[in-house]
Amino acid sequence: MTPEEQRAIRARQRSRSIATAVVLIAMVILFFGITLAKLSH
Amino acid sequence: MTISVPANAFTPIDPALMPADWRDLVALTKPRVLTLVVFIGLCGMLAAPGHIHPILGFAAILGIALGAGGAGALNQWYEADRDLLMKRTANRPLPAGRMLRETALHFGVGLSVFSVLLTGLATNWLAAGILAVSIAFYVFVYTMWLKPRTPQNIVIGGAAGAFPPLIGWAAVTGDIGMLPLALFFLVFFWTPPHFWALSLFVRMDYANAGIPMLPVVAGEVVTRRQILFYTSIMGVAAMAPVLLGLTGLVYGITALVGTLVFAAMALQVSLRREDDPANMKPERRLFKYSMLYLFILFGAVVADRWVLAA
Repeated sequence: MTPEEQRAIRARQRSRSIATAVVLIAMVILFFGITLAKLSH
Repeated sequence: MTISVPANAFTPIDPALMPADWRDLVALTKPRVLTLVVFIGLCGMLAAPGHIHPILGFAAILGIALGAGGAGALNQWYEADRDLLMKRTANRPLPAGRMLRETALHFGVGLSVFSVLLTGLATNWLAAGILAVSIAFYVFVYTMWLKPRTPQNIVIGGAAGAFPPLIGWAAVTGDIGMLPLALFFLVFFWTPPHFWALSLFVRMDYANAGIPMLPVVAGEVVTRRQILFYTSIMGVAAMAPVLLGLTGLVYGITALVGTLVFAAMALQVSLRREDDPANMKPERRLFKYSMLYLFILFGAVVADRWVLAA
């Protein structure tokens, strides 16, 4: 594998990691909100 | 595992080594189709009597969106080889060779299961159950069974896209009422003229991919006649809510005017004899208007409910 290819793969992994982190944080906030909403009923 | 790569595709790195781009994962969910699905689900929810906590309502709509996205991803996973043969779909992540098929499968299954759990936990298991049925119907009944076998594929398969109003309504009320059932049938009978208008001007795409859409199997004239036939049934379904006293005049007038315009366009398409896609402006207009029509009618259902409540 060439250095350019390695760099491209690293960049793709980084962008996916960031996207995964954003989705996970959003899910944590959502389920926290769902819990509060259920408790308030 | 091997994947098909078109000759003109630019694939600098083997997709087995390169992780899928998150934008391609989003593309697997068919975001443009999601807009309409989410909107009619939201309208089903807003038209329902009763109250739902905004966060739970948001979770239910997110569940519908993720479920439809998961079903879309599984559709693309199953149809990757056929998509490669159609101009309209050849640049999707799988046929273009930007993603492994397993990635799409895992993403689709994960998204589908998560959407059902989210809907069930946030609202109720009836809404989650209907969502699960709609995903299964789209993937197993429409994509795998009907679509490659019969020109009636979108007539029966149209049910898959008609479930969101039921899910939205059930999320609020915990049951299924007459109004969401009427809206189910509206979307069900709207689907054939909508897709057949499209299939008239992309007929060669479907023929190349071996998909037995009506224009490919029965010809253009029969398809045009069937568009008019199903438009008339759709018109009855569109007026049913007001005739049954489920909605008021706001919806009634909107549905009447909107349906008459739809019928006029469908009549024009049915009378034409044109098989060159380049000259199919009325067919393209009908296809575009059909989407606007559904947005307007569902918006009118909600407006009607709020006017009646005021």
